[in-house]
Amino acid sequence: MSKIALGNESLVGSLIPSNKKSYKVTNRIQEGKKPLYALVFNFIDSRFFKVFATAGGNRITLYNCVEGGTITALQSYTDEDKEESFYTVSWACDVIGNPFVAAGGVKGIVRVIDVNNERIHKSLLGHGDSVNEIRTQPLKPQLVITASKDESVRLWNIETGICILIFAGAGGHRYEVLSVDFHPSDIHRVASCGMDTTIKIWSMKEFWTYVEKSFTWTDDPTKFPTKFVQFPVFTASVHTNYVDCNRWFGDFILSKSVDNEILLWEPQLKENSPGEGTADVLLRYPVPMCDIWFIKFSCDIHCSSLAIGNQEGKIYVWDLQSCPPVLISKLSHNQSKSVIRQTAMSDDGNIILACCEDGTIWRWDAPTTK
Amino acid sequence: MIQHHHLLRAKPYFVCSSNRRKPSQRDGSSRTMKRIKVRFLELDLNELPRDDDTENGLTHVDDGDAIMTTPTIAHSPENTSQILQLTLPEVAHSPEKTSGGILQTTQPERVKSPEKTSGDITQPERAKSSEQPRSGVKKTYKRKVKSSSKSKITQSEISQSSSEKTSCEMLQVTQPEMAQSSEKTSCEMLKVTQSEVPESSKPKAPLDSKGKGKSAEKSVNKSPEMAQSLEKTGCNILQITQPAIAESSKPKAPLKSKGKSKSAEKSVNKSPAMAQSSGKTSCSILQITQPEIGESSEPKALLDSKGEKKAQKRTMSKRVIKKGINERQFNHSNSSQPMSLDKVMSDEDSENEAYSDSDEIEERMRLDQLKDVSTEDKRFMFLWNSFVGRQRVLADGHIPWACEEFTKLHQKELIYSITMRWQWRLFMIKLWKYGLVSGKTINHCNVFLDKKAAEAEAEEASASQALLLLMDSPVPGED
Repeated sequence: MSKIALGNESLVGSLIPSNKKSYKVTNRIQEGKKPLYALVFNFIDSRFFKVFATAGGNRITLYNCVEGGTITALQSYTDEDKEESFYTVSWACDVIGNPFVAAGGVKGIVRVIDVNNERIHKSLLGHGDSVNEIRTQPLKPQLVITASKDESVRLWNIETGICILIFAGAGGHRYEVLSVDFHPSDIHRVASCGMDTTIKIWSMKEFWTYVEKSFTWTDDPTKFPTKFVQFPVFTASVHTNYVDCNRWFGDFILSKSVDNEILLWEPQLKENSPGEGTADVLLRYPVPMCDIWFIKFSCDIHCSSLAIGNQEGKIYVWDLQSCPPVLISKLSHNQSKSVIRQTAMSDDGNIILACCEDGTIWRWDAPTTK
Repeated sequence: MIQHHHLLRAKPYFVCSSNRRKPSQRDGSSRTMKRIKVRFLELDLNELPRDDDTENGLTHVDDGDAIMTTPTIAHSPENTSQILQLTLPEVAHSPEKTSGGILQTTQPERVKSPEKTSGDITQPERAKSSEQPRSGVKKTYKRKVKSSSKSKITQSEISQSSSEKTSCEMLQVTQPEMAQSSEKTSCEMLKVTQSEVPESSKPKAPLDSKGKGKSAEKSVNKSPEMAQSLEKTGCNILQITQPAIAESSKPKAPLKSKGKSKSAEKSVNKSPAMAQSSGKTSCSILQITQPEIGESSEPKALLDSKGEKKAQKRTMSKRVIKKGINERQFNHSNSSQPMSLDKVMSDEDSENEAYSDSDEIEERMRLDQLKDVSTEDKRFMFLWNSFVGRQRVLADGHIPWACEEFTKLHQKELIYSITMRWQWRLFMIKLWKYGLVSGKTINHCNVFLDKKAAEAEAEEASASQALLLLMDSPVPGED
């Protein structure tokens, strides 16, 4: 559906690290035997910038990163169903500002945990298959979007427990949706990608009244008029294989498939004809040995750098502000051999965490400049 | 020798009805009527008169004084009746209850149409079958086994008797025809809403057990009787639809366990019936479609006896029913969100939903997806589709009304934009081509638009004149 503009070759980053910042391992935690699939810092609430949550097996655990490399465990929640396997976790909050954690997994139920009161606030039912990713809208942290194996993307209000919109239908994804992300400044835009190799950009603008209604809905949440958004604003075929992670980078998109690289590309939409547009690939960030799906990358809060793990247990830290791309550092440890499923960078980029297939969490710190 | 003789003189075998031997006795008019009927159906669409002043001199219903009753539609019926007459072969099923009338009454008018020898007898029958969904209900009802006529009588008994009347019972009285016909006739009738089908079981109940005074009192006990009548009519129907199965399976139990008087008393005890007939796979189907079944099969009785249910000993089958309706969680088909019990039991039909703003948004998004269509085309399609959606223009007969109203509603756009006017013109021609509007309607619309355009021009002219006058008038103070 999109045409890659001819004549504009994308720039490929060099794999020689600049070592502008050097990271050192400061801690390693073994959290059980099950693989850990997700690891997220709390960027919603500045009081908790150093608190992170992990998801693996049927457990969600919250930790705090302390100075000097220490990681303290704060809370842990276990699903009573042993068959549940959490794939994703995201921080959110209610209108007052209390922190919440939304987690989803193979059962397809999204658990919204009230962290202060240590109990489940809501269980969001509706997905027909496993939930692959949950992301929170930073501008309105009660809104959470979920990507599922049932080929749909759903927008939820975690405070009232309402499913507001379902992005699926004639123009929706045709296979599992693996990743989804909110635009940082445009509250109506969402990008999702999946196993059908496409990345779709959706707009909620026309249905915004329903989003607002969800905040003041007093009736039974299941009686809310959930609407279907069947047609995305744009569909990009930038990759030729499963796209398992996409993130907005301003108005550009960083997306990764299973072909050992991350692409930075610009969606050029045509104003009056939705569905038409072009994807212009600008930069390529090579990541060797990264060709299995469900490996996700992460950025720091200002999107100045990006960290991604690979199958060998190494982490590549790329500088997002340079063109052509510059590799800041390549982190490896002789004991870190397991697949790194997801990385998390702290708000300032000085702490990098990685969660692995063998249930370990690695912490890398960069010495802070005075 | 005798045989040979017999053969020589034997007449050739041929099958013929006794009628054929007495042609003179046949009713001449009926023959012509039959012929006309067939001819009528064989008419080509192009031969249908579409305008007032065409050949054949058929009476057109200008005055709205239709020979048949106007169909029940939301809009002005005068114009639609005309179309109904003209386009009947296509729209053989159009108005409910009046199709029979149409076919019969228009026959004499068609005398002039070309004669065609009708060797095909199947066509008139086809016409009849198309009638059935409308007036066929009553017809099939009449052709039923004597049990149905009894049930008619007994329905009045129902309404009079029974101390524990529930609203469902009242419903039964009013809907017996539909329900009964739906069970006994072909599958197509079974498409009637499920709530009606189970209710058919009830009026039949008192049928066979008139003696059982008690049975008339308890809504439950209708089931035993119903079972009996159903069995008579043929069990194969029961397997066709789920509600039918559900209902039939319930009464069957008491039949088999007549000794268990307890079972007849409690509405719960439908479950033993269920259990016994649950050998069929229908049981699993029952559970799936339970909302409708649960509702129609005396939900109020169930609700009343909830307390009693809990006190009762639980059998496997009881658990099945209770699970099905009250314990099991149902999800919306749209959003797969869990559905509350009152919504499950409610009678809402999504067919009756109004066209909302979100539908308009979705319509626009759908149209935006089209690549090979111009923006004016899209705009026109959007206007027409929204209009049709909001006004619920559902039948062919609504179209002339819809055209005129659409013209009035969007007159400004049609007058001021040449491209939109062209869109409108081409659309009208397409409708005419399919026989949905006549030249008269198109003429009305055009005359209306021209008049409005002229008015608009006149207004502009007068406005500009007034402006000129103002400019020419002497400024006060100067002389």
